[in-house]
Amino acid sequence: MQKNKKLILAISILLLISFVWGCAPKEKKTVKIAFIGPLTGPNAAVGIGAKNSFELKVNEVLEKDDYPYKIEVIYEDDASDPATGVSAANKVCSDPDVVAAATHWNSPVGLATIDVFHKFGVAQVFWGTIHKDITYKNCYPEVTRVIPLSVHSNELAAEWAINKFNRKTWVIIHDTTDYGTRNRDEITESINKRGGVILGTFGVTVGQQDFMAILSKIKELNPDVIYYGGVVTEAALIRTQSMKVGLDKVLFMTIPGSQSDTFGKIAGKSAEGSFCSGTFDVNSTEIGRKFVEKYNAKYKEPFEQNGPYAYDAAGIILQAIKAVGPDRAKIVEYIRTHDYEGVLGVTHFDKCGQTTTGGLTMYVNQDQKWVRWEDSEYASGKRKLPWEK
Amino acid sequence: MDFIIRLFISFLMLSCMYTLVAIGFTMYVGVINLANFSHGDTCVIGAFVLMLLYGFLSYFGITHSGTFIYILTIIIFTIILTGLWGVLIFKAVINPLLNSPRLIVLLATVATGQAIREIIRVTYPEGSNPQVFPKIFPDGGIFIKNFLIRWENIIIFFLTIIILIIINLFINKTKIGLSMRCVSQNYEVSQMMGINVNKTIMMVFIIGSALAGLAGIMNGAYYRITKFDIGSNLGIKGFSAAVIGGLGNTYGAIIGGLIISFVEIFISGLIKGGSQFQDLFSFIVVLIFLIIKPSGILGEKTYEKV
Repeated sequence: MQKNKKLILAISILLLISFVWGCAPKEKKTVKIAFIGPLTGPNAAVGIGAKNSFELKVNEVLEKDDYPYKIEVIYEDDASDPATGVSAANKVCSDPDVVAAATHWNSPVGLATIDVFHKFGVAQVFWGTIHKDITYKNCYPEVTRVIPLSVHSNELAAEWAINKFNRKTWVIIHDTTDYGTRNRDEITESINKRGGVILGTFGVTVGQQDFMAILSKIKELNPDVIYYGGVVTEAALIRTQSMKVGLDKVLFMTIPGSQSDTFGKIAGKSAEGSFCSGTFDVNSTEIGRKFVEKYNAKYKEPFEQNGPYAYDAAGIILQAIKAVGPDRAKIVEYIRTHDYEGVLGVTHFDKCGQTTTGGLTMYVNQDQKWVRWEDSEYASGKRKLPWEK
Repeated sequence: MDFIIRLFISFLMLSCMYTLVAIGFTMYVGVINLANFSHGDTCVIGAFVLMLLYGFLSYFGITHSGTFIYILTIIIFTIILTGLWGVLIFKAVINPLLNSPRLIVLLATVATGQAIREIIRVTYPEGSNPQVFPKIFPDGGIFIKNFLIRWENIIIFFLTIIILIIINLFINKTKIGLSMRCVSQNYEVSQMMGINVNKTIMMVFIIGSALAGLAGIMNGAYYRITKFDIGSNLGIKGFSAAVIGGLGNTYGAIIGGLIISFVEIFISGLIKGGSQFQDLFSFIVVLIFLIIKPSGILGEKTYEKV
């Protein structure tokens, strides 16, 4: 009898332990994702804005508590350098716990790393870059891009300058990086298609400060349009110095690389009336404005033009992980085949992973800030464009 | 004709920028036989210190309203502070390595330059972004036959000439300058003759850094912009100018500056499609000089004694 009592007691204790163990809240599995961008170097401002935006979305999703996983983000710096980018890509991809990554602002870096992500089968969502080969050269299933291509920006630039403002003669200035030369080739094609005339093409180095020699030459050419294919610092310096040589009656047109309020800060009053064929205007929608509010409440650095793209890139990755779990191959497939609704609207990818949406917008510089043309005092007729003859 | 005048003015301005940086390099090499590769980044320190001073004074409601005295005072303070930065570099980096091989010291200066860039980027508000530099030069200028020569062009040009003259007089006519010349000729004998060699080298760093600060201010004021990482390019161009002119010769700095900027302006302004090759050609010129006249145009040929 005593023996039976002891046996029943032992079994009861065992059952009790199993019950308690089973009912205890299960710890969430930690899943790793990566962010790679230029956190140092000449484009650090853009990289940090994107990184903050990415982090903002991740924290927002995790705060809701219904997300089935703990997310650990690995931040890596590509320093706008392809070799550094490849090293960062190898580091994140060779960690078996990393299931997806949001990457790169600079196209040369992106072109260098797509093979790495493809080799490891890790989903790579581009929040920056504009080179069409990133998506279309190999059509890697791992690659998706939430930002439109440079060819679309350049088409818009040529269309507006030539057909809307009737400015036919152009001078093209571009930086000598792959980004700059790619834009040079695309704008050349767009101008030629519309019967424009290119009077001269000038390459400049990123980091160069003095453009007076080439602008003096351009003054002699007397163009209707100066197009700059490059990034913001050089764009602003060229615009400022062009006014010093007397090129004040020329339409200054630039592209998303200069779509930053840093342009107006550097160029000051010289920026007035410049145009930028740019990317999505986050202030044009309610959800976009909410993003701006949340971002500005948390971060002091501006989110720059790629912040919303990085924000949605995070959302795309997290949506996929929630749907299919931390499985690299399944995440790759899910991202490519499912739409995502975020701050950019609905993001849909074509068969090579390129967004077919992404919101191209024409901006005019008004009071040292880029303003959507439709919202500007120039469009309403309240102000006259300073370069109009 | 307007085109040629504009090109000539650009050429002069660029020469002045490179010369102001090159003077510092010639001093370091001339006195202590050291190519200080943090010199370009020290120029950026000067620019950022001035911006900080402007910001600091504005915070307390002390604004300049364009007065010459206010601007001059801030510039002088900036130069002094940048000179003190030179003391810090000397004591923290150079002095501990004075008896080490020159290559080690050179590497230390490279690392110091990198550290300076990152310190500025991380600590200055929005440090990654280009910064608008305060307006120092007045608007307008002098009209010569309907052509405007701006005040900034005139000031920078004459300032460069004055600095060159002052540095030369300092080195040739003062006791400290005499000490520097002694140390540059023979380190050990100078010590034996009672010259405080460490103090002399520290003076070189103070003066070199102060000059760098001034160069950074002029660069920022002319282009109205500065950025944490422009020091590396500025340093390379300044060093190249010093090499061509003759390391150790301050007048060589101006000749080197003239040559480098002539190549850049000529290639970008006069050769079709040349603008993207201006850096390439300016460095080819440096290589040519290193091969055919490594001591530079005004440099003295030195012999290694065995």
